[in-house]
Amino acid sequence: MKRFFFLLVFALLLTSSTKGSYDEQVRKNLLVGTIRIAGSTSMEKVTKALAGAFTSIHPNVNIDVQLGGSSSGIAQTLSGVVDIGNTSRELLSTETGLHQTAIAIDAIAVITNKNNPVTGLSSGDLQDIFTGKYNNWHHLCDANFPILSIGRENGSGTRRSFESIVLGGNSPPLYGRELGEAGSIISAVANYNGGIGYVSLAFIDESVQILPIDGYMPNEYTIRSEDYKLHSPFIMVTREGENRPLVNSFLDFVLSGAGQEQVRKCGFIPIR
Amino acid sequence: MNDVTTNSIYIKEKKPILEYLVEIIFVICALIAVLAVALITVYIISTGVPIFNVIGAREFLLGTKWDPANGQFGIFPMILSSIIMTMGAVLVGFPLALLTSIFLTELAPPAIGKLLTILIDLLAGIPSIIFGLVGSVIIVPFLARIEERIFINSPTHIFTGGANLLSAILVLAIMILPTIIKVSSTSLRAVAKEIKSYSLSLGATKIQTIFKICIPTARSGILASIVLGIGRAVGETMAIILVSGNVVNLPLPFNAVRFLTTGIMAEFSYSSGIHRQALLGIALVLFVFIMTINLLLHIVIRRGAQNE
Repeated sequence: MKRFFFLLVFALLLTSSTKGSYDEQVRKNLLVGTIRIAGSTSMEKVTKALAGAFTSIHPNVNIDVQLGGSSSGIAQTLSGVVDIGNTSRELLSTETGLHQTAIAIDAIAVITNKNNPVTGLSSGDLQDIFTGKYNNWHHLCDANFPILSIGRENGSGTRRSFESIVLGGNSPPLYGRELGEAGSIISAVANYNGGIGYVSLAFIDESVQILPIDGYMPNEYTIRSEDYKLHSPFIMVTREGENRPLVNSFLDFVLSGAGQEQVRKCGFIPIR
Repeated sequence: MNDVTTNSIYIKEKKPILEYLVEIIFVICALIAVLAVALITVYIISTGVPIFNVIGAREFLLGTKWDPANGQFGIFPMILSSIIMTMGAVLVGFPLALLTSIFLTELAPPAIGKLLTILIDLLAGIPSIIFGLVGSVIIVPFLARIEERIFINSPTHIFTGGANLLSAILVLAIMILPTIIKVSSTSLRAVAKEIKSYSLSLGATKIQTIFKICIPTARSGILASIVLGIGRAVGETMAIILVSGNVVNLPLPFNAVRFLTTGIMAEFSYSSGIHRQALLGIALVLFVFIMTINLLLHIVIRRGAQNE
């Protein structure tokens, strides 16, 4: 009996010293289940980082992150295929029945080739370039070389946000090329002197240059002050009226200090 | 003697059971292939038809505006692009392929012919994504330079940086070479030696014999090779999505274009609802294209058989 008691104390000591207090243990195991997320490809990086941070606190939770674009994420949430839909654009008037949680702001940067002498554009220039009115850089600088305007594919939230801000939804865009991913746009711009494209600021590398728009570079300060207009929201949508504790605690975590720290780490602008 | 016959009869009686079994296995294998075709047909039709009811066949097939975000689903530019691209690829590729197969069958020394055959087989086996990558590294920058030369002073041309219809045609023309060469050289080889000898003995030159005797005789096989090449070109996706610019446009040589195949490829993972239905509708249109081409091939081969 004495030996058994001794063993018990020893075991308790061992568990408490390696795995933290009993309270913490309970909290860790309280949340159990799977959260299914789908949608925006721009939000992949930040969603996976958030999922990783959340599941390291709650090891019994499994978060499944699928891509497919904003529109598809919204549709899949509405049809109940996934619990959370990621969208990198505002909801359309037709997309109802959803509860929105804005989790971050994504700056959309306009990028050009490093050999391009143009050092800045106005919103008007952007409109003229992406509607095909300007097809040559001589409109904007002394050099005579063609403009290759590169856009994202239909369904991309970044494209929808960019077009609604720059073109105002009035005139249709005329692209010289349409590509499926931010990475492809960056490499296309890096490989063609006249290339111009728009991608999420978080994806940009050294191979291209970022242009200031109306005199402002994209960063947290200019976006919060509304000087830099090109940005899209990162929104997580859930079905309205549904109340799942697991999903709610994940969204609470996303908006918490720790969650927003992950957002910042991934290169996006925290919502708070 | 009697024993032997009964014995052999005994064996004969035993054999059919095994034969039947093997036959049944063969039939099952054949049925799986048929089942696959049937399943694909049913799937394509059942998923592709709804869009025709939603927005109407006319609007879908003849509409010129593709803007899924605003509910416009006209695929006419894509249909036209696919047709022009295929015609262009065959127009560029066929003369090359025909002359190659004449060289292979009639003129090449055996050693060179063998080497050439091996190389053509290799060309046929290269994955299409490799063609696309090589095209995007070699053909696209080359055409970008030509495009700049031609359009630098045009105030309206939308520059493509070399990824346009012409690039797609050039890449495809090379891709369909093996198909056309193989089928047409087989039919050229099948031309009877006697006919050629008659022609040569009547004083015709080798080249005259090839163009006046061999090609007309192998006509149906050569036609079949063209149809097969068309089938290969219409369905190609991976190679041309990398070199065609992927914008819905009318098929002019220096326009970025989107084809039926690349249209599905580019947007399928981003689509939902009616947009996805429209993409499945494109798949149905493509399926009808391929069916028509196969039917045409069937007719060409049958006519050839009747003429002989």
